[in-house]
Amino acid sequence: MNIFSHLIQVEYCYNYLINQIPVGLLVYSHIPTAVIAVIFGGFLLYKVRNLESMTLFVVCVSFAIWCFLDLSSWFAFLGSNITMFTWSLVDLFALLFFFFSYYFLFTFLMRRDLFAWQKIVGVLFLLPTAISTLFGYNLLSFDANQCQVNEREWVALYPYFVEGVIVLAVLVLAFICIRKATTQRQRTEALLASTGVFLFLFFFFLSTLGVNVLVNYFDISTYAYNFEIYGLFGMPILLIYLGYLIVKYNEFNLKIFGTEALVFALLALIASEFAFVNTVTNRILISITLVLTAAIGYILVKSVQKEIEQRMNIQQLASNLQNANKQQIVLIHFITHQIKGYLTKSRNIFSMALEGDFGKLPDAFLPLATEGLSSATNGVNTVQEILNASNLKSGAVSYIFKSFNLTELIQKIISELMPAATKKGLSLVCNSENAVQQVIGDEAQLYNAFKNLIDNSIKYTPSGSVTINLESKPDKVIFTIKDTGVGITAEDMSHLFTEGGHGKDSVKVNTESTGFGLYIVKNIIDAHHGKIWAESEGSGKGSTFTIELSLTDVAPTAPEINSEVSK
Amino acid sequence: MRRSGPGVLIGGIIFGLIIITGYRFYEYALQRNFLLQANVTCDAQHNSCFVADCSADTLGCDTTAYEKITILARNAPSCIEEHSCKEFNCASYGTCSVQYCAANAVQTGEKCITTQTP
Repeated sequence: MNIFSHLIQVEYCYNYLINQIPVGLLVYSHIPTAVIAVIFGGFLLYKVRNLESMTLFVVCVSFAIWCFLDLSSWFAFLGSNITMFTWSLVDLFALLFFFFSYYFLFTFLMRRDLFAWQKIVGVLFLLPTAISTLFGYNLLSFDANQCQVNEREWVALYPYFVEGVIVLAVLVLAFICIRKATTQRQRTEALLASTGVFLFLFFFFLSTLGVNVLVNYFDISTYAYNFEIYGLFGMPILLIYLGYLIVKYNEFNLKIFGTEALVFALLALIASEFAFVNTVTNRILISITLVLTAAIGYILVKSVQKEIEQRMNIQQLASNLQNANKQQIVLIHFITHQIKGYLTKSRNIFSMALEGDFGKLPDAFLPLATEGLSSATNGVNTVQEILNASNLKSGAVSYIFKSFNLTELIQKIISELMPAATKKGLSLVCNSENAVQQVIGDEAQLYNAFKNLIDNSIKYTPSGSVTINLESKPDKVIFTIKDTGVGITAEDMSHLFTEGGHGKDSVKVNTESTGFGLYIVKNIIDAHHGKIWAESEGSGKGSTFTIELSLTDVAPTAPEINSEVSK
Repeated sequence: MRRSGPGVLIGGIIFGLIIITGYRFYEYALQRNFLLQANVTCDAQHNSCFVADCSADTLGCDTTAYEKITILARNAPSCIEEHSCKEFNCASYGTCSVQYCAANAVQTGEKCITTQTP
């Protein structure tokens, strides 16, 4: 006994059918395909309400109805009246999903509704079949000997003509859209969607036309209809292509589609096994498998959903953080500009006072004015350093590359810093005899970088010497500054060139340290495609900083679109 | 939703389908208003009957003589579809026609048989 036994109205047709084709295979080829199509189309329409999902839903539903009608046509054992009824409608529903497949592809590729004239042409193509179905012209009689319907030949051929035209229209549409695509992504998407729709329709068209040719022109009717079931494989192919588009290219903006589709497909496949099994034991086993798969599938979908939500939250947080960073940079600019303005005014007042612009200062006030000038100058420099770091980070610095004399630049810096070294009793020596004269780079920015390094060495060397070497190689110039200063611990070395990367005890030695100096130097050297690194044997053992500048590869890497440079 | 374009078209098509499906269901499924073709046993002594041509394949070949009837399904007895009518008389039913064997009516795999006595 099987599940169809109580449906059999005409024993003769049932026996006729099982001699032709296994009933299980018929059910297996029709029902899961129809169910998956409806689930796919329904799910898509539920998640996304747009033109594409609506037309695809019509395709899926009309195809599913066609599957049930076709299956009923096979099941002539249900009675000739049911077979006549279902057989009379199959062509109409076939044309319907053909037309809407084209409609769907058009809306998917063109991102707009179908042209009005194409809708009219589509309806005109459907009308003859609709009218002949309504008035029963398409069927002649029911052949009780072969348990099938005799069709009116010319009416039966018309749907193949329309289906052929639609398949050609799909090809033409695909060709036009692929040619018109401006990006590789658009081209790939158009190709995938068109291929899916084309294969779906072509498989169906070929199999049904093949059956018609075998029945009407070769008089092979006994097993000819068996080929029809191969046409149904076109639908899973279409769904695979669309699923790929959804997962890979986020079409229809579905976030979790892949997992849900997989679970639904798995459930549909397991459920379809009921068509084959006859024993109670097998039915129980399949039921248990179905329930377990549904439970595990539910957990899987939920966990993926949670993961996607978390990922989206992280993306949102990252975006917020980026905005906050931008706002912070704007705030730093605003504050530092204001502070710099106040400090500059104070420095100018102290400077003018010391130069005698307001007359002779009282002797008691003179040291205070000198300290005030020094303090204000340091303040301006500190604020300027923070501004420079902020500008470098935001990419608001533009580099002007031109040829200049590097040796002269170093010598100029040394002469500027020599008083500070002399004041501390340090020996500041520069060896640059065989150094290259001309390099290409941003002179102003490199001036800041080298001055920062030399100034650092002087500040962090309580006694001894600071030695600078400038030497040339065939393709690069190497700048080395070696001091006998406080040195760098391994811990400090790890964040030496980072933003605000103070040494652990550096503020004890240099109270004005902002921690941005070496960060600025590294950014400038990076923008020149150079290298910078530091070496030290540890605390109290001095340190060596080396800069390598390429003589050939000096293309700017810093963004030049924003030429605003904060000073 | 970008546009509500296909709404009218789909609505119109659904309306048309309901009309067509409803009418066909009434005509075919309920009224059984269609023709049924079937083979019924034929008395070869009185008529020229069809019989399967077993010359090509004799294995399992049914040599029962038959005539071809076309009858309005509404009027047809259930034994027609089951091929179980013992003595079917077409004249007893409305809208029923019988086709006996003739040279121009024979199809592939069948031939005429008659045992008529003059």
